[in-house]
Amino acid sequence: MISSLRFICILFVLVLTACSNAAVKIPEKFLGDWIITVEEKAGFPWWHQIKYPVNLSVSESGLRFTDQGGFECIPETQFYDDEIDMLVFKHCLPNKSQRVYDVFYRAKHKDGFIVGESWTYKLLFKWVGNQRLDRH
Amino acid sequence: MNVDQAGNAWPPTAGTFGNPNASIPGWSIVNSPQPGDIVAQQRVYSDASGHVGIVVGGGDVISARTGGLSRDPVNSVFSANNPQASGPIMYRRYVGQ
Repeated sequence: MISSLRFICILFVLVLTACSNAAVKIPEKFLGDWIITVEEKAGFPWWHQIKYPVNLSVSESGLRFTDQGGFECIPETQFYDDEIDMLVFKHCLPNKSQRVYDVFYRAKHKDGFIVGESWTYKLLFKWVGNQRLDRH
Repeated sequence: MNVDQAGNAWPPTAGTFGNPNASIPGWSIVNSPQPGDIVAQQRVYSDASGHVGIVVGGGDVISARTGGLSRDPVNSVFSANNPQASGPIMYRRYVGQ
């Protein structure tokens, strides 16, 4: 119950943040093409089912990604929050059940890498993106 | 990553069971389903790789639906017309290792 309330609060903050930061420009450090690998940990391998961006392309106009199933997506919900210096975006595909929380992602830039997380009602797994240099 | 020798996710996901190109150790693809067989279909969702069920008698399948387990005609749950379907309907039978 507490977990659900916490999630609703987080989601509420995200929506408010999205509304207030819709026009904020994505910083240059995020721009480029990123090849992403999952940070594997013991326990249920959520990344076998929950989609995440194996390729993430970020430009000043926004981002697009390809998930591990090969589905390419330009998220309708995506924004950069300059207060916490974070990209937040949702998958384009529907959930299997309408009763479950949407899958969404948040990513920060750290030491030349994109460090991201896949969330639903809780943090499921983390991933790291290396910049693809051959396109620059 | 947890994968089998063929590079498929392990344990097998619904999408793996529904993948006609996936070889799952101990499971054979069959064309004439019998009770006890698995029926599966790859589908594109943000949080799942497909749908899977257990074939029972009378052309029915038991699978997890919204609200819990449900017994339904196979063709009402597994259809090429499903908007999220990305592969054929596959049947597999456990034949042992």
